[in-house]
Amino acid sequence: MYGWTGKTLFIDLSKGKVVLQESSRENLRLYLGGRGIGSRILYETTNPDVDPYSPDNYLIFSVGPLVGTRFPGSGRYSVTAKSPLTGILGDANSGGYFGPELKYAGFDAIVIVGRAEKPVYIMIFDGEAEIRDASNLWGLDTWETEDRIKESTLPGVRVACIGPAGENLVRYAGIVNEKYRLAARTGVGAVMGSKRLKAVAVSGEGMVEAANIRKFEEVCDKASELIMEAPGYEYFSRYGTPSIVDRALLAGRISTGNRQTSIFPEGELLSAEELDSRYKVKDRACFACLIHCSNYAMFVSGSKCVGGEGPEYETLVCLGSNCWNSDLASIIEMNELCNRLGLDTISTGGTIAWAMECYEKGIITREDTGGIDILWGDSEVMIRLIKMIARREGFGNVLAEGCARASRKFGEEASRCAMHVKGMELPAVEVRGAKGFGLGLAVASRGADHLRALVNFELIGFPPELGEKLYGSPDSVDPLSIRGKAPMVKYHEDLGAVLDSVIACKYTFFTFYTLSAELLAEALSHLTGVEFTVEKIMRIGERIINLERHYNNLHGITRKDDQLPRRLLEEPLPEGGLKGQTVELDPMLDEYYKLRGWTSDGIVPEEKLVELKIKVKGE
Amino acid sequence: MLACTAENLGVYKPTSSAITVVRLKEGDYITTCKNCNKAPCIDVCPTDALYRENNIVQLSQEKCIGCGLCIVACPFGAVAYYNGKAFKCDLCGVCIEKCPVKKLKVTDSWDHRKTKLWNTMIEIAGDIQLGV
Repeated sequence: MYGWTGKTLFIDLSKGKVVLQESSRENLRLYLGGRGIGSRILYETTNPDVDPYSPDNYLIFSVGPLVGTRFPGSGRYSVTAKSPLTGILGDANSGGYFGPELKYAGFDAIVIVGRAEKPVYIMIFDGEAEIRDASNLWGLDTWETEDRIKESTLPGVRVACIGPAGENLVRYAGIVNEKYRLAARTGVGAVMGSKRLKAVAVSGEGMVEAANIRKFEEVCDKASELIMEAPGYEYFSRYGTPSIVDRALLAGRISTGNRQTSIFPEGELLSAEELDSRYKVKDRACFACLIHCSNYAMFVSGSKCVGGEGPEYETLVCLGSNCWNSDLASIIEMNELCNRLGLDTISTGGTIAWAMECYEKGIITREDTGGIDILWGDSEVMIRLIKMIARREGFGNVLAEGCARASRKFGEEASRCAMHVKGMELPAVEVRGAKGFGLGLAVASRGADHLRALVNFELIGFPPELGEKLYGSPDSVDPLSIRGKAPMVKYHEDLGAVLDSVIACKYTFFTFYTLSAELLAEALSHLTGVEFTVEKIMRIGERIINLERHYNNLHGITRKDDQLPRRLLEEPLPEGGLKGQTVELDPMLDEYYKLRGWTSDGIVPEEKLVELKIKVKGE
Repeated sequence: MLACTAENLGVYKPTSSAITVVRLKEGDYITTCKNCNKAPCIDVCPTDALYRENNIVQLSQEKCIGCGLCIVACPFGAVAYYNGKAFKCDLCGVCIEKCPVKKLKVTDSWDHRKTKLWNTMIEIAGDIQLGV
């Protein structure tokens, strides 16, 4: 089989059973792999009445056809499970080297169900797998876990594991590979913890075959060239995502103080230049990527080095400006801590920012926090809280539930301060100054998520003619306009779903906009030997989005859930160039549902499901 | 590594690449065939599949029986294994052509070898005489 390996590993932890299966050809054809396959398997196996922490919840690691090849940015893997944070579909993906290794070991996906009696880890070596005892690893942080597994197996083994946060079922715990890379969002790490699965270790010496490798190599060359010649490549490859902080500062669009304002006076201290000149040691890259956007940043504190890869833009804002924290060194330290403990920095930051605002307003008192003053910008308290969250100690036990659940304990006023969509904390972007992102967050199938749509298009400053041509309105290139945003979100969601499924990094496409769907279709055709056209891959994207929406519909998700926090809809930004802005969500939602062919209540009609071959008629 | 196997073997298989990256604490280093003057791989090959031509150590796929002795003998881990036969760098240059940052080149100078990795390998290699 070209492109895919054609094998799926099925593991039942309750029974200790490992079964090798053929991947469903039909599903590979309709959903490609990665996120698409993950969502499909979850839809087929995990019913609405299954609790995310029950042994019946499925946890799926998957890779796509492009993974392991030379296509730029294809070194990723995807993890899918029902999310303990949102209660609906959950997935996350991560870069590094784990994904390609899984492919070389001979698998398209690992499907895990059940719950082990005692802690275990899964060792996969070249087409074979076994469940091993992990009692001695339980309780260790992710860095120690990886080192121990490497010591006891092979030095070249790739490890994806959970830290104490996942073990203690923190609802936004992530899965960590290569120490610094997280499949962070929606709490997939907690699902892994609930299965008493500490790690998945993979080593593979296999290969990826292409139907026409000469032609495929040509496409890869072209893609590399298009990326490296793009204006902005040099800047982005040097500074990475922290460069977005600079842009956000310039536009007065940086989420500050739990989104009470968008101006952060000390913002310069968090800028990419500051990180680059004071802390950065070198660039790091994922497998087969020439952007190398990751910054390896470190500083010496006492007798030890603190840091590693990161912090990225999301972390700089969520643990920085959004908590009024301008101490860059403390963010590097917190980033390392979150990596070690296995926490999502976005949700961690969002929850702490919520607690800070509630504390300021007197909704949370010293009695609740066990004597800790949670004041704005107090990085020492933040570090203490992160440790408490991962171990669910004291007030950390409340914060470990995420801001949506935690706020229910403190009443209506606390809920107003909780910045989440469908239970998941908001990412860094200030959507009152980027309305397409606003719509994207509201409708994303895994809760508040900027990566489902990632409409960077509206922020780059493209000419209005291009906006008119692509999305039917010259105003669509203006981040403050709501015109043309529904088609823009739809297009980005569809193509994004394909990228998450094949799997190529969205940053290779949606940063420079030099790679196109045509190029992707061409690459897939030469790789797999199956004819792909632009229409066909966009159709696959649409299918994945509709499947995920249908799955969420089954869990009771409708228009009432496609909402942003009231603050973003009702409280205008108080200062700066964006003064007076809110998100006019309802008109965008109407347009979006109509474009998607969903009912005005956001439900996927039966005909649509049949048309997209998600369901057989009458099933 | 991916370009190497794609060009020469027709698949993506980094573990069979003729050029590899060694990751040490000090940093990442690239290792490939050094075309040693007194090449241990040529010495151990039982079928004379390895031979010298124009100062380059060449491998004959026809003669190779895949015994793997050269892989063991090479002090640099520069001989790979693919599909039952040995595979090594023949200076085809595809890695140089496709390196995105254009950091690879062929050279006969000694200076580029004086890295920590090189020194470590010299230690491992013992008194084998090296040179182009």
